[in-house]
Amino acid sequence: MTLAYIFLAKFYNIILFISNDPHEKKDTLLSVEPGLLIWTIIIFFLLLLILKKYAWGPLLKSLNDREQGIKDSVEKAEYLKQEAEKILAQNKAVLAKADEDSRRIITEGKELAEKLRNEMMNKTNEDTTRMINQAKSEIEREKIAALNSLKDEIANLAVQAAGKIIDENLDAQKQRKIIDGFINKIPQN
Amino acid sequence: MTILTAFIQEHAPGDSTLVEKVQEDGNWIMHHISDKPVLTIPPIHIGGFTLDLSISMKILMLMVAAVLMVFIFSYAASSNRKKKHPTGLGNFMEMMMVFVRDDIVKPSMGHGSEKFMPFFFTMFFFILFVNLISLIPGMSTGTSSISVTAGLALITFFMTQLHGIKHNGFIGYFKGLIPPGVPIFVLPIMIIIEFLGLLTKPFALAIRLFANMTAGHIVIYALIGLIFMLGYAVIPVSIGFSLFIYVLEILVAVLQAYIFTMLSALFIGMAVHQDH
Repeated sequence: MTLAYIFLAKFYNIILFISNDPHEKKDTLLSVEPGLLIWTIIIFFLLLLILKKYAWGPLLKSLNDREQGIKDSVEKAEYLKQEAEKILAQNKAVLAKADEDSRRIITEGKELAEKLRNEMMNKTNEDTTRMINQAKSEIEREKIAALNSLKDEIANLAVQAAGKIIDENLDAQKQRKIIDGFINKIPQN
Repeated sequence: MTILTAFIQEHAPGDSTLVEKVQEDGNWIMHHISDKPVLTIPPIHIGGFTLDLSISMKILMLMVAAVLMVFIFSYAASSNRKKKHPTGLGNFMEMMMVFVRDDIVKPSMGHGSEKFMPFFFTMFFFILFVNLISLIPGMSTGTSSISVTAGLALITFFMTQLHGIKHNGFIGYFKGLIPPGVPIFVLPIMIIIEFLGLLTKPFALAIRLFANMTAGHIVIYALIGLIFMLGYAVIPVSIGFSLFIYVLEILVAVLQAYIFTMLSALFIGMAVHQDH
């Protein structure tokens, strides 16, 4: 019980802020002292002024600068990333086009080579055939010419021989006519 | 007190030492809680009003906190300005500032809080420093005086009215205090209620901070006082509980600075943006 009284007394004393000493200055916890209040306000505003100039201003500035810097960097990185992706896509497109081009060129080259080859082959064949034909016709012509000259020679020889044999009985022109006709009856070959 | 003394005498007659002890112990705590003069300045008489501007222990604590803040924050500012990435104290203080800005003021106040930031930084850190200094043994608690907290609450009160009037106009501000769509016949009551509301807000601020900062100290003193009242057997209990309360007071110191700043931001924000 006594313990409870002691506690009660203690808190009673404090809660109601009663000073037991009548000589003590009457400042209880809940009495507002204007001096203290004014000092608080003065200190607060002085502190506000000083700190605003020397601390909050620079600190907020560096903070905002840094935040802005980070924001800018992120945005720039984003932009660069997009740019890089764009370039990559472009490069891919160019590469694909080059690839396609090279393939096309190779195909075209192959085709051209094939065509050329065929052309050459045809031309060569043609030439050869033509040359063979030419040679053949030449030979034929030469042969005919040779035969003709041979005929003439034989005719002459025959005429001479016949002249020698018959002597003057026959004139040369008549004889020749007869022999030419004879020779022509000889088969060509 | 006399009633209680009589009560004790009635239930425990003859134990006069107990009565003395009770009175003495009460005074002992009061002595530690109350203010002590440090530098006496003769009172100034303005009309019939006496203004005592003597520097007491609590004012000294406020000054110590203020000087400490100036040193710490100007050091932080100069250290942060030099480096690209803040480190150490500058980094910590910046983190606290970001906390105050983004988690206390901005959510409570909404847009347009940027120009009030120095004010709220000063308020938060001033209360925090004063509260934390009070936890150092041998120091006094600045914020456990109703005069100091009333001073801080008055600053919030005047800031609220000033910026409310500045932003909405004199008539617009007081008109905006009454919620729209109120019937005519309740208007007189509403005017009284809203006017009282203006005054109770800073009053509640002052009492909350004062009571929270005083209570913890009183409990610690009471727990220590138990040792002398009940003997040395209670030392472990007393010390244990004191330590617990002491750690709790660290939390309370931060929490009260947070609450005071948040409510100040809320009141000023409400006065500035009356439409919502």
